[in-house]
Amino acid sequence: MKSPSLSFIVLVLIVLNFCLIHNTSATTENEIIIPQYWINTKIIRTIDISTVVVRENIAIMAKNVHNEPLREYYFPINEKFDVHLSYITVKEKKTLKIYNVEKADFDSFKRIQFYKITFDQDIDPQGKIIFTVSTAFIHMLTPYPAEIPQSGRQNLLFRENLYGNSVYITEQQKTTINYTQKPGVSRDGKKIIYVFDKKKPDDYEELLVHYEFQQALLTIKGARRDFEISHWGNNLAVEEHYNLTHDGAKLKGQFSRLEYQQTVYTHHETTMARDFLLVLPGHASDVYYRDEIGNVSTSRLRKERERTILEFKPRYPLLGGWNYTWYYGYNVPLGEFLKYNHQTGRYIFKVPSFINPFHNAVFDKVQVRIILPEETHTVHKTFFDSKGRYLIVLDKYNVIQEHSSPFLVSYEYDTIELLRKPLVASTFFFCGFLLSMVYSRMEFRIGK
Amino acid sequence: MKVLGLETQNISALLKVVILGLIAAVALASRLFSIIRFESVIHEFDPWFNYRTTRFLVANGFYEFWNWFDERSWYPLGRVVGGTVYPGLMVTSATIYNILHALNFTVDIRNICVLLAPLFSGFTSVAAYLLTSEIKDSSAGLLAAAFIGVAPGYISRSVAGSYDNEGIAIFLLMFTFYLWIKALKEGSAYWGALTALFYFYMVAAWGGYVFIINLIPLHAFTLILMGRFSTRLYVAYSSFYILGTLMSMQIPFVGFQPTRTSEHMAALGIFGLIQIIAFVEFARSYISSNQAQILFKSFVVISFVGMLSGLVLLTLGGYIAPWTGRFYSLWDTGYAKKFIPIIASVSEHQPTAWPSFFFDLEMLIFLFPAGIYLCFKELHDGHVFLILYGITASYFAGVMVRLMLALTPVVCVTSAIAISRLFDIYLKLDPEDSDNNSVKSNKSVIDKPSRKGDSSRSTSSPSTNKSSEKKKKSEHFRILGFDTRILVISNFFIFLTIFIWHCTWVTSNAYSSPSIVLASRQADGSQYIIDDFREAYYWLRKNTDYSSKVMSWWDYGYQIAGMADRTVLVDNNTWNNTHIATVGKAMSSPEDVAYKIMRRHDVDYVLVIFGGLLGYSGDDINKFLWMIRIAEGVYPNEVKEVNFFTPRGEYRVDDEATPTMRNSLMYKMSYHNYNELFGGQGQDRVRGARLPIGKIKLDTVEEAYTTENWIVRIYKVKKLDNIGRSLEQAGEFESGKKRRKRVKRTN
Repeated sequence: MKSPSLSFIVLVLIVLNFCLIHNTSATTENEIIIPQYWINTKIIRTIDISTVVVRENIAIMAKNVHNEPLREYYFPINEKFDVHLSYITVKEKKTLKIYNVEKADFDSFKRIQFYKITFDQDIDPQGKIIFTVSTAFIHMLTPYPAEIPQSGRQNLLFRENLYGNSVYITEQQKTTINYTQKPGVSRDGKKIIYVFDKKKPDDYEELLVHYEFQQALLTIKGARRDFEISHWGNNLAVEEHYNLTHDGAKLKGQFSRLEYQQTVYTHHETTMARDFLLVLPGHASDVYYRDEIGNVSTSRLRKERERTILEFKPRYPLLGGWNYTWYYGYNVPLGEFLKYNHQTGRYIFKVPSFINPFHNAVFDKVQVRIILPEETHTVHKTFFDSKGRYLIVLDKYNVIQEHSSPFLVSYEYDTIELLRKPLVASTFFFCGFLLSMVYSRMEFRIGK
Repeated sequence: MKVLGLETQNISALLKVVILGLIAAVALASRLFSIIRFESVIHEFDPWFNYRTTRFLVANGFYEFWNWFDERSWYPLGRVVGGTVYPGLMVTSATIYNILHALNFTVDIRNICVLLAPLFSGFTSVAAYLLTSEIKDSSAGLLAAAFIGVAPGYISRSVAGSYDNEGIAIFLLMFTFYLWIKALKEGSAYWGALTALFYFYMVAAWGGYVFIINLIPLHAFTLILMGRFSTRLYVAYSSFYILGTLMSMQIPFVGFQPTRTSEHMAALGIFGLIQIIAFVEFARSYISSNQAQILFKSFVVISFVGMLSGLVLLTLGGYIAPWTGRFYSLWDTGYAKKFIPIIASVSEHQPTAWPSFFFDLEMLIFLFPAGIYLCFKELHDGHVFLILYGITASYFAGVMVRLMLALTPVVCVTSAIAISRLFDIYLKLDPEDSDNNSVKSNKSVIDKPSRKGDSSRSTSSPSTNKSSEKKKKSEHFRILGFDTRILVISNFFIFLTIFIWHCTWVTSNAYSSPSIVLASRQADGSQYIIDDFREAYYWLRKNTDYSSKVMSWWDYGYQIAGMADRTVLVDNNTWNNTHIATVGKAMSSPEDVAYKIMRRHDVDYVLVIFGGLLGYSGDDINKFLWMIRIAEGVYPNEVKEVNFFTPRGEYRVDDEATPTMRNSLMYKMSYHNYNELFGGQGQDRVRGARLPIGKIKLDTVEEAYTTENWIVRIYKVKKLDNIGRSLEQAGEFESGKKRRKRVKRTN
């Protein structure tokens, strides 16, 4: 038997260029002065607040006003927003080439987090570069009023700096805000447009948008997805746990079933979350949907060619401020997700998606756990294991739909390991019979 | 003689193991209806408490469990769980859980709890086999195992999910009895000690252990009266009693009861008596004069009378606790109704209706007397035991529905003896050849334990004597006519088939509903699950503060604690009648009185069950009379049952309902907003009544949540008014009514 290799290389292909947020809390207050080497000759900013996630797209035309060639450009994000930053991506405007962006220093005096953008080539003095910074934030929209009656309309409030964020002087800028996706909204369409000239970095004026938003603001406070690989059963067992909160306007007073029943068929546009839909792989079998106190009977499974759809209702309709937790799981044939690479002798497991997109919900935290087949590790044990398994845990915060991309895990696995379970089981029974044979031939009586 | 290269005795041993294994498997499988129909979930009320404590035990370990003070029940009193619980069930599941996890079987504790009762039913079959084999023979044993495996009287309390003490206790009961018979037969302290050990397990598991500690002394006493005192009886009983009592006192909930309460005094008395008799027997072996004989006999009688009167005096003096109310209610069925309404209010404490004997035992109830008759015909020690067990258990089963459970095992055993006797006679294929082939002679081989050392012993043991005796008898009753045999055998074959069919039908229809989930059929025939209870409990669990106090009738206490994880005022433990009566008073009083009670008890939410919309008859309005009665028992001046009845003595909720009824908190909470649902006048489908027209106004509580089918309604108790008005005044102000100015009146 070959000695099983102890080292596993986890290869995670991250399709999107996102960075994990770590709160580096500064111990002393330090104000950071970014040298004014650049001037933004033009900024075109588009803010989309028509969904729960606030997506900002900033096209920047920057000019090098320094006397040396430059590569680095700093971008500030207020700490308050930075903790809710879901992703930040920087691309060249035309070629869509992705520039590296990384977390830089934290200005603990102004409470600003800087991001350092590194271009792939030096920009000469007086040279210009056009690039876009795309960011997405969660929890940026607050319901106002904070409490509404059961069939009331929900309004949201969006606050931002009207002049955008930049550490450099901006000569010209234009800001567009999309606040609804609904067609046919009157009063200058569905946009608000601002145009300004010459703004200094610290200029601030509050941008305040108060608009109707008749959808549930769903937040998954925590999600855990377990993928358990079994070569022996040729099976991938998936189990996902969710902890959901309705972050919309809270229910004013108490819930009235009468009012609910009277309005449920007439009042379609509601912030109440009544039924959900989850997409599972096509060959998903043994699907279950439970919560802490048992099976939830209000679910329906629909099989389609390429996918299986789990429609379910929570035990109660979710109103603003209410919570619900549940978990579901299923089995799928492993073959669809596992490939064997003959050259490297390694298995490659493809996790179809980092998250399973759930309506328009945002995820505060997602944990993905991949439980590799039984090997020499004692990290995790499950049914009928004699040795233990390797467990890969990936944690990520502020996750949104853009993060639902597949990734790969590769590992080594000896075929002989497949025989472990039957061997252990037969040894166990053999010992049992042996003991009973010995026992039946023993004499325990005192005297005759 | 050899078959397939094996000795026939080996084959029959193998067959027996296989058959017994299959019977145990059937016993387990027939209890799984509820899992297949519904899900793997804990049923009903008490199991939720057991489940909750088991989870605590698994999570925190045994010592934490032992010292657990549960501040989340009986608010504000709390409950010392470790000291008021029979821990056997929880410890059993936790042990299984730990063993499985040590072997890397990561089974969820819920599944262990759900499947524990079916698993132990399998064991019960084996125990019934052992007991019956000990008394008759192994073929009767197999029949008894099969009967107890499927008898609805036992299944009713041991389906998957019914995680209650009885689930393991019946196995322990049967096994203790088996060990007792064995100890008595062998006269060995080893078996006596084993009996004591399982008696201890039984004490740890179920309050019904009192049955054992009275039945075994009764058996011993009867044997003494029959003049069958022997050293075997002395050794078996003494070792059992001493060890058993000492061990049972290790359970905190039992403590010193074995020496202090009347329920245990019979066992103590018999222990004393048996010592005296043993001493006398011993002395008599040295002295043989007739005078001495008379002297000894009178000594025995005098000391027995002396002990008895001593016992009475101690009881009167208060050193020994008299019989508790629950036991009185066994002698006088009307007792509970008069003095302890809380016991009488439980449906399973009602006297048994006669059809339920047939429902739960089918043809066994007819074979039971036949079995008892056969026991009388032989009347060995074991048969005396069965007769005593049968007589006492059938009395108790008649008094209380719940005790049908204690009767079922003995009915199965005696019926098995009767049927097996019948088969002994009618199935003997070759009456001429009675040495090898017959069931009988196989039996004598079977009865011998396979270990070598036993063979010499069992030749002298009574079982072999008995069997040879029986063999003679059966030859005497030999039936020669083939047609007669066919007739009888096929007849009984049909009976047995119908029995199995009946048992399966009863199990699937009557005993496999989890009762926290209700099932109904939709118009297209598909199953529709009514899951209102869990909807409400989960809502409480997720959307209320963790420290909220929920007031409900005690029936739902365990479920709220288990599923909603919130503090409750009263629960199914019912140890404090006053506290329950206080809740009853709050429910049956007008709002202002109830509000004071609720404020005093920090109540945040009130939960009521209302079946009016769906026709669910087990709702709170139907239980309301018991709340009133229990409240009246403690607060006779404030709650009066009479006021809830119409002048004609009817209990009504419609136009004719009395003002007391219509003003009670329970009535208002049940029907709040109900008229509006119907757009004018609500229709109560349980009581078939049309409600009085008009809006029901609630000032002190507000509707917090009502489930889909209106079965569970949760109300939030309002806080005191900010500017010091009474909540009624505040409510009137809110609804736009102006307060009449006092100034006007003075003008």
